Amino acid sequence: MEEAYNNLVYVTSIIIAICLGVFGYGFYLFRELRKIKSEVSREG
Amino acid sequence: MKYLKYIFIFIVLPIQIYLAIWYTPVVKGLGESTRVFYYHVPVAWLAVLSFLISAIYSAQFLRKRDFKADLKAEANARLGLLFSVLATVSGSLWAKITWGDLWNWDPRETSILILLIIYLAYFTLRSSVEDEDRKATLSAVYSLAAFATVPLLIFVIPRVYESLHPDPILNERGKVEMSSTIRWIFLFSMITFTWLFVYLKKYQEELMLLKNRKRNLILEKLKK
Repeated sequence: MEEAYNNLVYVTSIIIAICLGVFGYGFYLFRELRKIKSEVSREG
Repeated sequence: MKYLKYIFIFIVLPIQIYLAIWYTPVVKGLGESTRVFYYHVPVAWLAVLSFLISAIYSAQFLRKRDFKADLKAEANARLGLLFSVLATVSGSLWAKITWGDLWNWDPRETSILILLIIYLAYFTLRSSVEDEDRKATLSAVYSLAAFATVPLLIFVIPRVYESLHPDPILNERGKVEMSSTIRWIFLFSMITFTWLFVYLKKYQEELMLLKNRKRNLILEKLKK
């Protein structure tokens, strides 16, 4: 029972880690892109 | 194109999550960890794809001396590094469930670790050379040499040495041996992640090009 619980915790952690990594990075890119677009239009 | 983004976010992504988390049958021996298969393998595939695209842009730079290609090569190498880290971390946690240890020096684990080190050196190289032309040339040559190791590390070595990993998706007999439900969910997950990669690639490349443009604008102002 305890092993099954531990495995479930690991499975959930892996999927959350991948999703956080991919979507978190995507969100970071999106935010940076918006920021730099406004900076470039101001500079140029 | 705009509608495709919404189709992806509100239809494709929820379907992938539903299929991979709830609908999937559980494989004997893997138990609940079967679900990890639909996330771990696609990120490993995207790592290889990113490094391949980075090598193509590097070759393009060497042929045409186009600095945009150099920046795009760096952008894709960044994504490749992200996906390699995710594949290594998720693989390590999965190994804890199925093999009992976080790290087992399995040929595939070792290969991806070497690949990570090779591409970390690529970024060290980029940050250590100041002259733009020299940096781009050296990085492009290094990127091509680095990619030459990818088929060897990812496809050859794990097939030559004894491995704890199961048979590759396409095994030595040239067959895909998995139940049809799992095969379809796996295929759907691969498409979903590749689709997501297209957006990440677009944003990452655009960001690198804009950062470079901003830098050039500042330099021009300083010269005046």
